Amino acid sequence: MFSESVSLGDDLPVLQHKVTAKDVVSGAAASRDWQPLHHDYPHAVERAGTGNIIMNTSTQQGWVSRYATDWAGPAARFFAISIKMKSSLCPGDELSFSGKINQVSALADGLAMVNLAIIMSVGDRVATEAAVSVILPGKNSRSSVWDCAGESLREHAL
Amino acid sequence: MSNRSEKVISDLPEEVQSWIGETLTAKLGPLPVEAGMCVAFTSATGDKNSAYFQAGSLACDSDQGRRHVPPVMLPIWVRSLDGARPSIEEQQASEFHFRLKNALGLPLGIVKENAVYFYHPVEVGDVISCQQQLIEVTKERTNRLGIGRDWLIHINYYREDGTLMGMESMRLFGYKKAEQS
Repeated sequence: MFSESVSLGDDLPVLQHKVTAKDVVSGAAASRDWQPLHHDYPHAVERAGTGNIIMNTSTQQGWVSRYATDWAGPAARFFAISIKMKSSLCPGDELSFSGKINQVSALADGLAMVNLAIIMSVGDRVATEAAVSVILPGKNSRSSVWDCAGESLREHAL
Repeated sequence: MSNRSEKVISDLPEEVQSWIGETLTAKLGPLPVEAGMCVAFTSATGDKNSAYFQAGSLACDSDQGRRHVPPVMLPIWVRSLDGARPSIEEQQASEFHFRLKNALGLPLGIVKENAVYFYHPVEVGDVISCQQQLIEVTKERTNRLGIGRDWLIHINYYREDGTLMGMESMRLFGYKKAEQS
């Protein structure tokens, strides 16, 4: 995706995925998160009161990152993510990702910071609200999206 | 960033109040960023972004020619590999979270909100460390999970050469189920 190809209000394609226990446990393991509510069903139900094992923060961030970069492409720079977990994601949930461009900021050399509002929902229930900032190259950009100094970009992000 | 003086809640134990505004450096020893963990993580989320699977793919000034990893993995590189909680002397990335749970008698905890900014690409072989600061602890409240408090922690991540790689803000809810009170 190039900076010239996007506009404020554009929708991202919907992604659907049925959450499995493997998704929850493998994501927790790959993020070195051994808190029992991410892999131990009796603990989650009887002790933590979450009703089932729940997807951890890092795995949710990973899914949001995957969703955003599936759309933005490998040349995009994933710059920032913010998530608010409204309700838990558990095995069996029919998860749906939707997203919309809510800000486009032109940077130097044709690059653009694009802010996305992403919703992870299960039916009518919002599980997680995410905001993501990605930097897209321009068709004729000579500099890499990674050559922008990180801290100075925050004014355009999220 | 929040101001310490505004965030001290008077019903907190003195010990906990003394932590607000304090900065800790996690000392877990060198745990280099490794490709296997990247494969496991991208597999868990079905992420096939080709940028993570070839060395030197970023073609930028800071690209050291090694394979780079998903930015969202930044906080993962400062967690212990085996899930064991290190000693206080080996403070871990979520040290304040565990300290607060213990000090406040709130054995359970979940993340409510999280934001991370990624300033530089992390590559296989980098060694990441972090500094964390406890910003605030709220008054006790009750929700469907139980009785507990929210706390806000800011974390800065550094590469071994001192480069600030990213910043994270994390709001957590520590709680006990109602029948545990």
